This record gives sequence, C-alpha cells and structure tokens, in this order.
Amino acid sequence: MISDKEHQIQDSLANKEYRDALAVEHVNTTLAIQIRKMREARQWNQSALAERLSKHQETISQWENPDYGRYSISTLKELASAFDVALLVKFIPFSELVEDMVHLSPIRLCPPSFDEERTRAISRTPNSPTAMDQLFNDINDSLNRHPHLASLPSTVGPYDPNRI
Amino acid sequence: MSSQVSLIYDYVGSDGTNIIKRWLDGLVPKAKAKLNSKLNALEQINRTEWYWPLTEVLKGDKDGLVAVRVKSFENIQYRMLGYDGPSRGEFTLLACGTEHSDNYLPANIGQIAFGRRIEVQANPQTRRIRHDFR
Repeated sequence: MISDKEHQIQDSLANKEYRDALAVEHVNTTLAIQIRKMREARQWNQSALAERLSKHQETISQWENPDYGRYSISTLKELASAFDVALLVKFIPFSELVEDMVHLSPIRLCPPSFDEERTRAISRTPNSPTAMDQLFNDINDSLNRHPHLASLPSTVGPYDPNRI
Repeated sequence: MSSQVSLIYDYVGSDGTNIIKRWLDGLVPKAKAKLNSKLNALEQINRTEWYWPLTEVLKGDKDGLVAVRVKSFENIQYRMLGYDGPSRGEFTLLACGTEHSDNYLPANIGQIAFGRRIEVQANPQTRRIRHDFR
C-alpha cells in the first residue's frame, strides 16, 4: 500500500526544477547521515576517521553536513573502503527515488561492514532465525519505531512464530 | 527523550491554513526541495540521533525549541522552528524564517513559535496536521 507521504512526494515531482533538486538533496542528506551513522557505529570520532583517510577532522565534519553536497565519487570510494561497505552509484527512475526516500531503514542508513555481515551469516545455524523471522522482526521493529501504525485497523500484529 | 522516530507535523492556523506549507510554497523550488528532503530524513532517524548542523537545539529566549537548519544555494540560512510534541514521537513545526549572523527574520520568531505551541497543545486535533511533502 502506498502511504500518503509517498503520494505527496510523487505529486511534488511534477515540477522539473523541484524534482531535480529533490533528487540531489536526497543524495546529499542521506550521504551525510550515512557517514555519521557508520562512523558512530564503529565508535570512531571524526579525528579517527580522518586519520584513516589521511584527511583533517574538519573535512569529516563537512562531509557529515547535509548542506555540503560536493562529494566526489573517488571520496565516496575511499569512505566505502574505510567503512568496509560497498558503494553503488547508478541512475534510477524517479519512482525508485521516492521508494528510497520513504524507506530509509536503519540498515540502509547504517549498512554493516563486510565482517559484520559475514559474522551474522555464519551465526545463522539451522535453529537460528530464518529470513522470514528476520522480515517479521523488521516489521515488529517498524511497529515499535512507528507506534501509531499498531493502532491502525490491520491484521498485522506482533510476530509470533507459533501462530503460523 | 525517547529513542523512537518522530513524525513531523505542521502548525495549522485558526482558519485551517497549513502555515508551514504556505511558507514552503513561497520558496524557490530548490530551497523547498532541500527542506523537504531533510524533513523526510529526520522522520526516519531516531529523535536522539538528530544532530547539528541538521538541527539545532535552541537556547536563551528560544529555549525548548529546535531549529531544522538549511543553507540554500543562494547562501540563505533557512530555519524551521518546532518542538517535541504535543505527544511522544511527534515533532511539530511552528514557525519558519531565515537567520543571518545569529539574527532571525522575523526577529520575534521565538515568540511566534511559543504562541503557536500553546495553540497546538490546547487543540492538537485541529491546530496541527502531518507534514505535507508536496
């Protein structure tokens, strides 16, 4: 189901100047937040990240400012390597932009490093949570983060594996 | 402060006008897109993770208010002042303007915001609405 917010963003795209700016600003805002969140998740201060990249702390501060917006692809590649995550740069239709805008989940904003991801995969024994469990956990997490959704008329409730 | 996300609301005037949307509609498309992009992101990160310079916790005569900050392409510093409430997990935008060298325009933006906060608190059903991203 498409949310009101998704509809509103879709409507706003009718203006060419606005949609061009929105696409740029979504990238700028999301990158700044991602850099900050990934740095904090690794418990690095700005100086520690700067040291890994042979940059000044002030540069990291700039990169974490959503108003900055002057990232080069080579800078982003260096950051991806420092955080040990992948970088994906590609052209997409505006429908995908809207989808990305309304689904900024914690994992999208702060992707795990290669090692973290691998550790999680290895720890998933046959008795560990399945992909479906993970999905329902994500739904439960969303309900906790958006408590108003739980009050909406719906058949969705807290996930109980024994209920299925 | 809770660690959940905050849904963003707009202040609504006594005649039913969404004052925040009216202000945004008066900006150039680039500035409006920039502000809406930031509000969209703020709605999806935990309230405790809002950080400067994305937002600023105001002090002094604006104590209790939080500014959403945007520096536009024309070097104009836009500010949208709001507060955490009226309910938990909600952030209501109350007044908008610009800032230049620590001076706000309108100069009494804090007073305006506090006045509107009282109205929202008294009538949350009619004096605020979910932020309009159009």
